[in-house]
Amino acid sequence: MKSELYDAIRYYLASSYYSMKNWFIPPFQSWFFVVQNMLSLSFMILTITIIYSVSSGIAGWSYFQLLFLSVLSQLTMSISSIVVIPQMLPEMLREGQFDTYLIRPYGRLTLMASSTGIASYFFSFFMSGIVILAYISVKLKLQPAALLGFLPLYVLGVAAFTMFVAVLAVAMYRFFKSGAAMQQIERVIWNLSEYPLNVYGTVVEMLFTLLVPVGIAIYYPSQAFFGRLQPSYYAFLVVFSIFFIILMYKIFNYLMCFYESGGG
Amino acid sequence: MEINIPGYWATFRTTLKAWMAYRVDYALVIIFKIGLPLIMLAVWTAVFLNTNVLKIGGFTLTNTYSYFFLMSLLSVAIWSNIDYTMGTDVRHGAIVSSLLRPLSYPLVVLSKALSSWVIYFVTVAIPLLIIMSFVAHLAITPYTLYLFAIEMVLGLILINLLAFFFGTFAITFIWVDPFLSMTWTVESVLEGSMIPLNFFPAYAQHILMLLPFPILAYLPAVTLLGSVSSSVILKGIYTTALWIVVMIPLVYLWWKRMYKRIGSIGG
Repeated sequence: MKSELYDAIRYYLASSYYSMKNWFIPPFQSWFFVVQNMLSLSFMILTITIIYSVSSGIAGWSYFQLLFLSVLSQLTMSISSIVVIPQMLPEMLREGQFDTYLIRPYGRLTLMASSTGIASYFFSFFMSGIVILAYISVKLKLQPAALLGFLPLYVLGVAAFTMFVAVLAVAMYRFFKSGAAMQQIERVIWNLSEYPLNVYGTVVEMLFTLLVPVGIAIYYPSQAFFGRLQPSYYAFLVVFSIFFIILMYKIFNYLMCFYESGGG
Repeated sequence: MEINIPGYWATFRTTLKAWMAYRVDYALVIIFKIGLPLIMLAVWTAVFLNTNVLKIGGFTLTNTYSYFFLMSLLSVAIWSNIDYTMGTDVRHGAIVSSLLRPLSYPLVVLSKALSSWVIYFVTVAIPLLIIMSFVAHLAITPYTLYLFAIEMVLGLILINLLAFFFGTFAITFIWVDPFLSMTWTVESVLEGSMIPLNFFPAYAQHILMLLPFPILAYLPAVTLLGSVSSSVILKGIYTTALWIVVMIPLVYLWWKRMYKRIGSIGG
């Protein structure tokens, strides 16, 4: 078991290494990704700036706190892309492009992450967004100790969210044999996660915490960072995240059993 | 040059059939497409309640509701998937087999885009417009409908030109889905679907109204809401028409340049 995990990580890192090397080869590709991330970030900041310039903003959230939440949302989407690009997976499965991967001696999740994840997204975000995140943290006078509460929940939340996205992408293949809706679904989840979940009402907040783990990946870790999360609720979210990851892992493997070779 | 009308008509019909084959998937696209502006509706409601004022940027909370519901309608009334189609064609090598046919590739992708647009327009946009005309207190008169129709036509021409231009980036970069998402984000701010343009500072509003984007969302919405004067709407229409006249030859020359760069390893 230990050796299997070790082999899977080694295989994944080797794939990511070559994915990253590819990132540097075409002359414009790398800067293209960086510029597009910077533009997305700039327009996100512009939207929040406009909101706070014409109004008092959202109750309980200062300008920089909301900015932190929005940038964290983009960071989370970039990290998730290291493992799975949801638009790409249903297409790959439908066209039988997974055949050549399945003959390799690794688990389905490892194979999927190695074939559809693109590590360069995260690197592009890192070059464009991490400076803004650090600047906001300084502006908010956040103490390094706040990271202790934030990081464990965030790591688990991102893992839960990534597993959810992978399951959703495979479910699209299983039930519709198409993934045209994935880009639109991802866009809605992304836009929704840029703002505090409580603005959408209790039902949506519950839904996007317990069913779609945007809450445990972005909203609640931010609350923990600002010291606004009750310890009992924090403990519940940690336990729930672990349960969610295991459940999604099982569902992912189950749905992948429906993969039919396309001869590719 | 002879235009192969039956060829484009066949492309149009084939796209309709493909849509029927994956109808549940496309129904999801529609649901999430019209749901997207409602996120900003929730955000602006929270902002109004927290600010405790009657008007922001000249809009009451009721105006804001109507505005964002109209954004849902416009998201399926003025849109194009040419960029996405071109991205997929280039990635799969299908662009090469398309170029071998006795059809112009730009017109093929336009036929496909118009086919998808017709489905969205007939099944979603028109019913939504009828419902909204009863519940959203729209200022619908023959004149506003006439202006709205002109804006729709100009908006469609413009969005297809823009989408075609962005789609050509796939020829160089192959995987352009994240880039396309970025262009949608930028467009959604500049066209006013994230924030009504009258919420921007006055100087920014003047600059934004000189750009081609307001015709894609803000102008049709305020036309139906009756919240700006006819002169502002007409000025917006003339500005967009001018942009289209300038963009058509530029996009054509750009395509001629990018066409020479198309490569494939067998499709």
